[in-house]
Amino acid sequence: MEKRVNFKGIWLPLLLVLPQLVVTAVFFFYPAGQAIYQSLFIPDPFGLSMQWVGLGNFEYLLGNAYYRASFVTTAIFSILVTLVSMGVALYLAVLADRLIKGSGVYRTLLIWPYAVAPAVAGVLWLFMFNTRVGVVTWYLGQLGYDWNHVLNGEEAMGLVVVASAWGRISYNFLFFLAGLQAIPRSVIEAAAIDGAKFWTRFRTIVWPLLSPVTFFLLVVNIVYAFFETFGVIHTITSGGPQQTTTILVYKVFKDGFVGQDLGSSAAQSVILLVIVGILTIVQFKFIERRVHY
Amino acid sequence: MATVTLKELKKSFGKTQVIHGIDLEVLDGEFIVIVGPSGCGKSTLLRMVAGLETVTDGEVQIGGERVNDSEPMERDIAMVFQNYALYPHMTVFDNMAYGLKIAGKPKAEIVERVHEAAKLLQLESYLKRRPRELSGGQRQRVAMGRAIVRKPSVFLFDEPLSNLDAKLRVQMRLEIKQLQRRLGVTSLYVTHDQVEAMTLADRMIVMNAGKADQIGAPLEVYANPQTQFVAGFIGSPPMNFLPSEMANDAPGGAKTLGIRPEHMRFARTGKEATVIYTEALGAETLVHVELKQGASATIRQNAAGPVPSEGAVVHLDWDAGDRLFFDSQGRRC
Repeated sequence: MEKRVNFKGIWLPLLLVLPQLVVTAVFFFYPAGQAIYQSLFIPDPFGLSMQWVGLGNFEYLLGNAYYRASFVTTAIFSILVTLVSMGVALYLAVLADRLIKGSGVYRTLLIWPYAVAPAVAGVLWLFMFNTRVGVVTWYLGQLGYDWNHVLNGEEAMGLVVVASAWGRISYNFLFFLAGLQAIPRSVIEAAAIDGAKFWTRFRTIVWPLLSPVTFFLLVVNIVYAFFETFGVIHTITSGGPQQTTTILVYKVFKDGFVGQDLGSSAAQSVILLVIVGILTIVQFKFIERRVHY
Repeated sequence: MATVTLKELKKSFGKTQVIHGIDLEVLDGEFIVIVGPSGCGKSTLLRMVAGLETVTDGEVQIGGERVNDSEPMERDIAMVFQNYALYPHMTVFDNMAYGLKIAGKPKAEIVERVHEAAKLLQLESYLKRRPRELSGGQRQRVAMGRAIVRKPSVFLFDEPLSNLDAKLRVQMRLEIKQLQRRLGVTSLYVTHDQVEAMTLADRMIVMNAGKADQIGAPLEVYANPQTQFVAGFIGSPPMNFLPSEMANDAPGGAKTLGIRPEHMRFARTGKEATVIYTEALGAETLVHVELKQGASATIRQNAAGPVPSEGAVVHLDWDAGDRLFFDSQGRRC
């Protein structure tokens, strides 16, 4: 059922959508336009003069080994964050779905990490894994493992992945749980009577019926890993060691605000803008087609 | 093919006991209907036979073997659910083939058996469709098909027709009966609809608040109800209950006198009553009256006979042999 309201004139509806339009214009169209404009120039560090370079910034970036490396880093980082946060969330959701007693408490506790800001989460993990005073580092040391993410790039990547995925598990958990509970109980029972054991049921019934949720989360989590993990990276590794955790978003910040190369930074923003655009199109194009029923 | 035996079967959810000990012997190939109002425990009873609910006490036997602790899949049963429980992401063919695929049957055999079942249920042209592209009656058939392809020894039906409209329900009722006759598979069928129970059952169990009030052939239950509950539940319109003082020869302890609407007739002399309203159904007319003693009753009058107008004062009569007496506990006496 669709409820339509008919307006007589043009002014009232215009007035009603105006706040949204203003917000979008001020916080999206204007900065995006600025970024596109600036990406065509090389300004001096003090912002006193700008030199037109056309697509020179883009040419330089695509030919730059560090930038290409950052692409690979971002890909690895995003895939790992998405897999870890969705995998763990699905596992917990399946357990919570089977739980009858105390499910409320269990759910509430699992939702809490979502309320922790990424930068704070980053600091928490940083303290636990601090190379000198971290409690996890100490225990790993007792086990004979010398943890040092400040020097070891792989350890650093592991740490930022875990820290980024951790806060995200709550969000994914909520969606997976809702998805699981939307599957009619009798369908699962019918499968059980048909002879399917738990794992077969999961593979042939639950997973396909969950696929719309999974696909939605996949896109949302990739976008998250791409753009919203800045706080975690900044607090834990600052992109190091040796740029092993410099994802694209972090590189925009580093090149622009630390390196003062505003033209290149703007060009990187534009590239990211295109990537978000593609991801959004993918999401809208496929999310309805992939729905199974 | 198998027998089903329930021995002192009990079920509790926490401290609430919902099934208070049910004994039943189902013969091989018999069609048993479990009927009762909502909340009487009939679905729970069926789910215990299916293995979807644990047994609190007592025993479930299928084919003479105790299956209390067996998984649903080990019991060689098939179940048809009220909402059909079709797999929404699979085609009709895959829905029916699912159980066979899991059982690891060869592909040729699966195709043959699914087509055989589809032919039986007139589903052949729908095999490539998804459940959402089917009508209610077709979905119902797919659910049946999924049950019969596996050739189980017991069919369990959990209110399979209650989501269908009235006309389709009558048609599917006939189809289920024919199918069960042809396949000869032992069946347990749960319903709250006493017409379904009467028409389908070889024997029926009338359940009331977790107990089996009566087990017997439909007409026997109809003619000879053991409790006031059964008398009132089976038959539409329900039996009239009058105070036992209206009969001069009521046995000791009798509190209620029961007479079926079709056994009451208008006469020149007899109990005086006022017609409240009449319902003309075509072939028959239901006349609702209020007796002088404050009790109300319904008379089923053949449409060919005279029908009194509303507000008229009439006299009612009945044969002594059609009366049933119940005590204060609702038991026959």
